[in-house]
Amino acid sequence: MAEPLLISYGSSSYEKKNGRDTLPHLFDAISDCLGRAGLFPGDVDGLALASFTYPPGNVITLAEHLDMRLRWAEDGSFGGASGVVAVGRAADQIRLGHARCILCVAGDAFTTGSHEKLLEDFTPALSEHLGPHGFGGANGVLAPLQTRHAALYGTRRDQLGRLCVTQRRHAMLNPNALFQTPLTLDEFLEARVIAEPFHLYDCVMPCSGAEAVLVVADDIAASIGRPGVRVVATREMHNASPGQLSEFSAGWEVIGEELWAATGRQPGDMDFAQLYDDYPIVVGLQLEGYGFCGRGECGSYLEKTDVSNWGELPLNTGGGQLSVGQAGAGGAMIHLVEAVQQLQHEAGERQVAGAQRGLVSGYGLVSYGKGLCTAATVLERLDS
Amino acid sequence: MNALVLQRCAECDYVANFWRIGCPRCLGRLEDFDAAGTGVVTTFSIIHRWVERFEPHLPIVLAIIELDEGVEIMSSLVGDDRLQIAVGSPVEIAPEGWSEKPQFRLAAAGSE
Repeated sequence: MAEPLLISYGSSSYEKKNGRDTLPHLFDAISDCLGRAGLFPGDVDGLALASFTYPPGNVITLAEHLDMRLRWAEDGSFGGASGVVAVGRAADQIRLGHARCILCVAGDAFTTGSHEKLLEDFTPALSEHLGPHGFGGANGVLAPLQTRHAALYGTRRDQLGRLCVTQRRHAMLNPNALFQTPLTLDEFLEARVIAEPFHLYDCVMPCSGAEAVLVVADDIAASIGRPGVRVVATREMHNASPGQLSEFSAGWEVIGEELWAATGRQPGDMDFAQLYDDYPIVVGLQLEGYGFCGRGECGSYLEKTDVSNWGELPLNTGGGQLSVGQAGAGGAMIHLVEAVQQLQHEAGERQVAGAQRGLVSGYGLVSYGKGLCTAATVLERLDS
Repeated sequence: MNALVLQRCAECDYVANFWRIGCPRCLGRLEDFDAAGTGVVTTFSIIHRWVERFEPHLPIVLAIIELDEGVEIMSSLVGDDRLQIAVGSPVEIAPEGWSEKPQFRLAAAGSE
């Protein structure tokens, strides 16, 4: 059975709104990713795409555009979980022998106003039932998580804000990050309020960009001659708490336990974690769900733990969406791109020394009162 | 008139927290009924910035409310005292609001 290996990654140059269109961003990420591996579109036989702004184009019309002949394809409609879902399924397809060289790409381009329009009509339940309330987009749907966490566990903004400050330090070592100036905890705390308890730097900045990773069969990987990254185990869960709105978890406890059992690893074995970061509280809830800290303890954990790339648990090592920018569905792939780069030891000044394995988690499809989708994967450098 | 209409399954009594085409539990037929219109705030956010047409209503208090019928819905609060909202606040349907959807207000202290 062929073993799937992540072998390359690529990004387009991020732009603030009103830059290039979606297709040029997707092309640049694909070109960067394939070019790093010395491959061309004609070598690709599997393609996964996630994009909100490329329709009516889809994964197959992208293949048509780039003359790819496909044996497997997937349109990811899982919001911020689409990237991890795509890589997990791509790895399975390679194990099954259905495809051998699968490109996973995600990205979007927004103009002023188009991002808010997307959010208002993001899902049927959301546009029908929340739109008329002036719900504030994803900010308004997810801010209540933090209100409730603060009420139940005493979680404070100055605890969560430390994560944003640290991620900014990482971003300043990432040339593709749109935020390149330091963020102090005071600036975080005093920024203008958006959707209480979220202030400006709790929220991602929508931007335009794309991200890609390449999963190939091990014999192809050997011929490419780059360090291979194993997709050790992947799990996904959607609509984890049917009909319920005030659950903190999107299924992280369940898929986390399964991942640790399947890999024989524990949270403490991870050299880094890349956790979907639309808001720091969402990162905190994933820290709790996957067992990096106890339930309700993410605030004190972030207060006491050095989560920088030189600390105890390097977290969102490239700056994450909070400091690089959220390129729509590209936000689902950015953490995978960073993870592969770290495990190939190509992250330059922000390299986590000797990184051998890490956890990547996605979350998204914000709908009626919660995000509906999540997926996580454990990646490991082949020579470890 | 600002009434809160929910759906209940004619076969199994499932109550839907937002409109469904049929009963998710037993696939039976859902029937509209008038909810009591009272509940408790599970959690909330106060929205200070959103698309232009909602600007007259800012700050908007968006809340998850556990209704007496046992289901959680999302709605918004009206009333000059709405910023006094807290987790656990009792709320009731407001006689009138600015949304096309039913909105709530903080229940008067001591009211049932």
